[in-house]
Amino acid sequence: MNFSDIKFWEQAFELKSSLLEGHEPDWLSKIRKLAFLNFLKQGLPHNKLEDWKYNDLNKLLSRDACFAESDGGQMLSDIELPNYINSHCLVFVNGRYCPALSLRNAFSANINIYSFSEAVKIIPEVMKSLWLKKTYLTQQVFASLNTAFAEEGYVLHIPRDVQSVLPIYILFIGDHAHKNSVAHTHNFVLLEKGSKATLVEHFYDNVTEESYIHSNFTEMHLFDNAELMHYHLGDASWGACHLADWHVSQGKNSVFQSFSCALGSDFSRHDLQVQLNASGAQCDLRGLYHARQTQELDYHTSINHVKPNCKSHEYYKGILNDSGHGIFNGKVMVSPNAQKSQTSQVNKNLLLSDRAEIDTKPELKIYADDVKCTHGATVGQLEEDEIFYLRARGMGEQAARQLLLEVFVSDIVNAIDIAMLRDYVSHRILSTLEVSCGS
Amino acid sequence: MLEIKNLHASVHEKSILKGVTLTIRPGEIHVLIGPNGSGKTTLGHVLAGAPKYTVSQGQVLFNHHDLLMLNPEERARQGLFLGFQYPIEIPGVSNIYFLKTALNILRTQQGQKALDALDFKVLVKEKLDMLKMDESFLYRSVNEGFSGGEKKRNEILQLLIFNPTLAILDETDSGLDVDALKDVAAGINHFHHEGNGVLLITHYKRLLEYVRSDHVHLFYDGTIKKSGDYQLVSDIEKLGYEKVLALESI
Repeated sequence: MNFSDIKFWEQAFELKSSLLEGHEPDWLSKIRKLAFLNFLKQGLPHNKLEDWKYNDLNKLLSRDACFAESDGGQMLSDIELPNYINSHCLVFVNGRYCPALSLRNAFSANINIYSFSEAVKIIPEVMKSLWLKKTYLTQQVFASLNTAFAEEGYVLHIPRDVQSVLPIYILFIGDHAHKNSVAHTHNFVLLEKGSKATLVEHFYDNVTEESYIHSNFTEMHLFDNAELMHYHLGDASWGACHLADWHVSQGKNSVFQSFSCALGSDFSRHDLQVQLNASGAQCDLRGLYHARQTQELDYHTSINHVKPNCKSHEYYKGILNDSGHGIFNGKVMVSPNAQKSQTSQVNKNLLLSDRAEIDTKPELKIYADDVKCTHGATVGQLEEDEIFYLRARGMGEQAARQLLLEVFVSDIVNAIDIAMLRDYVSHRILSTLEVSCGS
Repeated sequence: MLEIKNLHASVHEKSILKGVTLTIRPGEIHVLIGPNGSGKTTLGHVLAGAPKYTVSQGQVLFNHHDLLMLNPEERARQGLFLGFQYPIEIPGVSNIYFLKTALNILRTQQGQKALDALDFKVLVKEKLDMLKMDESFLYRSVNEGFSGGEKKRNEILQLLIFNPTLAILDETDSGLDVDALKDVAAGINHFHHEGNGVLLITHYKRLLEYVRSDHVHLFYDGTIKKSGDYQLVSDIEKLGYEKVLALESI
């Protein structure tokens, strides 16, 4: 069936509801139903909607879709974990939690980490309160669809004043997924007052061209003085379609930092929404996208300054090559009583080909008068003067271009403060840049 | 080592070089002097292989190679060095990385062993001292935020490190105070020996008080109108370009 066929979704939801009936709490089924109704009400996106006007929706909507009844015939032993992983990891294969590959023993006792289904059984009250927030209502339509369908994901709960030193790795691996399959994962991160954690979400696969869709929705709640460092690496193969939704709500003086890197997938849409709900909260969002061939990589960020004295900072960089298409839309809202807000936004892009395209748009809605707000976007090419200078010193043209591209990404990559992950990400980026230079 | 014959070049279909003929032999220092916009910088860039210029006519032999057939990096590897009038800033690339990488490319090309970090430091330290440059230069981005004088010193530092066979120095003397000018001149004199050649492009006589000039060429409207020795510089300084040219036509 076609992804854009509403009947497909109705049938799938009906089937899902009948399968889940009696196997999960009523409140959860109820929320699923509401979320699905919200999806039907909103309908699938189209280009007349402001939030989707730049997207080539054919890439998404004209796909075939199906729900795989069982996992692909994966040979779990064949799946290799990335080399930066030493411990503390939860692994999902084709959207399903995979205990055999996860390394959970290493988690310290005061860090609570569950799979979605475990959490519903072990901490039902917490889960219920999280679901009842109905966060999907504030997100894009695919968050509603995700909420209606997702049965898997991770739940991370860090108790009050616990400071988790070691990063927590979550791997979402596509492994010979059924052709055109759709997987949904829905996650929750709950950081109690004064707690601290570092989280890495890494999406990749060992499928080369097979088409599949993965929708992931992570809700993060930071209580007062909590600190979360969130990393995301989207590195799936060309056949993949990656829909990523992140919702962050922040308490007083909490700090949310995010680094997202999009290299893979033919179509990748990232919606990151941050609610600065209490005074003194701050967020620092960084991202890097490199679109090649016919890739479309989209970052839609939305920061809502609800209360006074909050700070937000955004720094996104993009490299667009071949017929690659990048989209950056940075929405910032400052509500009337959010005085003394500080917000800055920078988006820098390099176009390496005549066919490449970037759409960059700041969207500022400032309703308070005492705010400090800056934004800037640049679109440029590699400087021919710089290339000539390097060549005039004996450096080959490819090497000169490569060096300038490495320099372009270096500030953002060097800010990754987990050394092993930084090396891994840097290696992945450099290997894609080499392809770009060689073309 | 360099033989330019009837060289014509243009940029965006605007003709700039209109038949340049010049021969530089090993051990010689040539001076190209001429008014703004006469095409001196273009000549330097065309010789170094800047892609934005189109050569329509002429021939250039450099150490028995057909120079115009080589791309910029090959010319550099064959021993041609252009000191830029406006050295390019490359934010994010540290000077030491740039210098070491470029030197090792040249060395490997010439069949020499690449220098490791330690050997390179020893080599560069000696040159820095000669040019009275602080070691902190090495750790700043290439030319970024350098003053005009610092940029020019950095070009001479490269000249000394890369040690080419032909140095084309495009207005390396402009914008320098007296002390800096002396240091730059000392750098050029240190570089120069019987086996290499120098082409100095300049506006002023000042540099020539410190650097020996074997041949002086008056460059005007895309070509060499008059050649001579140091006396020509003095005449130009006294009378101006127009009058010196008029003298010739009498």
